[in-house]
Amino acid sequence: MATGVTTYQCPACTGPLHFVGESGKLECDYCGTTYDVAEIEKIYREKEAASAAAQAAVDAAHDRESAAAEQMGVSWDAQETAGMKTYNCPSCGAEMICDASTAASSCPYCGNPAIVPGQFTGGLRPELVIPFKLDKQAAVDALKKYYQGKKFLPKAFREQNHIEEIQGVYVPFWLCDCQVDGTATYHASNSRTWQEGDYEITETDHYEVDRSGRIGFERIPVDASTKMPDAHMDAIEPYDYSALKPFSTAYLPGFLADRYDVNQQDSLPRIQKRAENSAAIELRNTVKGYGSVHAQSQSFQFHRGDMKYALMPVWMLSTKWNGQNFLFAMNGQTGKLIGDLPVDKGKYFAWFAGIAVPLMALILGFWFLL
Amino acid sequence: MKKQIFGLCAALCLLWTLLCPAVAKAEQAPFDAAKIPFYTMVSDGADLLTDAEEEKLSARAWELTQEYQCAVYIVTFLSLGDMEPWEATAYIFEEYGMGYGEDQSCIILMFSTEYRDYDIMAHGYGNIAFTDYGKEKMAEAFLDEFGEDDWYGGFTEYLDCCERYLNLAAEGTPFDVGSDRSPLVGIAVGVLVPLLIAFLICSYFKAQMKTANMQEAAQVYIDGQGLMLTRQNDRFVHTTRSERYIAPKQESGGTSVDSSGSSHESGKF
Repeated sequence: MATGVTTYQCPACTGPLHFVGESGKLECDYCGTTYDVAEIEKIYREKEAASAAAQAAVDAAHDRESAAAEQMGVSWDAQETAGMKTYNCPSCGAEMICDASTAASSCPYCGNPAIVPGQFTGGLRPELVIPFKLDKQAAVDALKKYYQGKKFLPKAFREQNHIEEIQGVYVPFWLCDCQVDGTATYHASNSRTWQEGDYEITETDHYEVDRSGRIGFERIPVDASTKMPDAHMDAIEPYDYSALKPFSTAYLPGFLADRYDVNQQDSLPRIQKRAENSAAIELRNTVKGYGSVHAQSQSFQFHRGDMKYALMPVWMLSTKWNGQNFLFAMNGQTGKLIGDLPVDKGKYFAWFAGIAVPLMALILGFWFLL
Repeated sequence: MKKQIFGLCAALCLLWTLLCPAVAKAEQAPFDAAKIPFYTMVSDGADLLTDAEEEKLSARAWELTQEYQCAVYIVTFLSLGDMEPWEATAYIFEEYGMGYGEDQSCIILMFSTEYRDYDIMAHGYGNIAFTDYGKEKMAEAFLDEFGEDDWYGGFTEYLDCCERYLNLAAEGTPFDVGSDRSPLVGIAVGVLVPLLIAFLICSYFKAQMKTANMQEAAQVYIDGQGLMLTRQNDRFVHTTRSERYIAPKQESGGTSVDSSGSSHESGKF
């Protein structure tokens, strides 16, 4: 049966293969045999091409079925199907309904990892990927460690909290090279102070300082998925780019992956803002030898360079507590974990009072008794 | 010059007549405060007060003297001649054996109208009750009135201060640095500072609960060349000068006593 999905199966036993970050190899769930990425790539290159062609056929068939169903009055309405795609699992034949941007997932019926090669063809093919280095257990351990030392974390959250969902996701990113030309004018001053009799004399030398310069940036990352919260994706930076590899779908089995749905043009304002802020900081850092420096005017020209499409490894962990969702993200390469936690108001005020009241007693005691 | 000497002599003669009962006693035996007539507590050589005012002030000064066993004097002169204010006060103190009891405890407010000089001198127990800081604050209290030639008002202020300081000294806490801190300031500092510290510490801990933050800069991604400056110009524009009065520090407190065992606070009004 023609499908738009590829499952990476063990050449020895046909069991499902998963990419294991620690070893950097694909491993069979059943027989435990490991394979190099290049080895599997070679085997499946043809299969993926067939899958991509088959996806076009599936889409066409789906369109025909939809038209027929529409005539019978049992179709999904346009709103319901917007942004969704259907695939057939090559292992069990079940129909999988996914987001239009889903590129790697797993079959909800047989559990086999499923790759949608069609999502990575032509201009949609990422150039680079940083493979997962840390596994699910590392993410769970990191979250437990993250709870430690948080003074205002509700006890019930720490004790009763269960991770509802944990997913390794290859998140699409744009990596942008760029340059910024900046010009800034500062008012700087140096002061000398001395005493003459009962008067303190201050003499201040004032300077006008001009700086212009050019600064280059390499691969500023910006996530290209509307599904991912920008603050979470920004906060788990940076990645170690020395681990960047040419893209291969062989890194994807066992993880979710999305193709980008924010294009380069729409991603640029975030990159520009960060680059210009950094240029301002660097220019300011060249103004040395003054006691006080204030920026009077600044202007920047942003020059966009090469933008590369890459997939980055992220573990997404979500929990629910008191009816509220809490989402955490961990850098799948470095292990940096971030996320917002609930604040126990009781603990907050207990700490507040615990600090303020003894201090009040101490200061008032000194003030009035001594 | 002759006129000044004459003025001082005239004032001293007047003082002599006023203090004669006490001085007569002092010549024979240690000063017996109980025998000081109340009218000698105020010697108005500059004739600034009416008889009724002088009598009223004398009566109150005598009451304080008796109650706290520390003589409270007011002495005015038309001129001090060539003497410095503190010299003139020390002179009359020594010359007329002023003060209460064997240690000659006293506080003397002396001033001269010619150059508008004043001196506050303390001796014996007066050095304990009237610290340097206390004398300075006392002067601030009455100088406003003297500046407007309100002599009676100024002397009344002086006696009010004497009563307050003697009372505090009798309770074991002489008026000194820190004694005049407002309780409201104490409450404000004692409440607001701990609240601020608690807020800052709690804010620090609370910030640890929220770590999903957007990146504002991209320093990590600056290329190997870094910033290449194309223009760098530092131009001197001008110099400004400002002056700020520094109030003398009064942190140590206590009383500075000279070799004769007296302490002074002098100035002009």
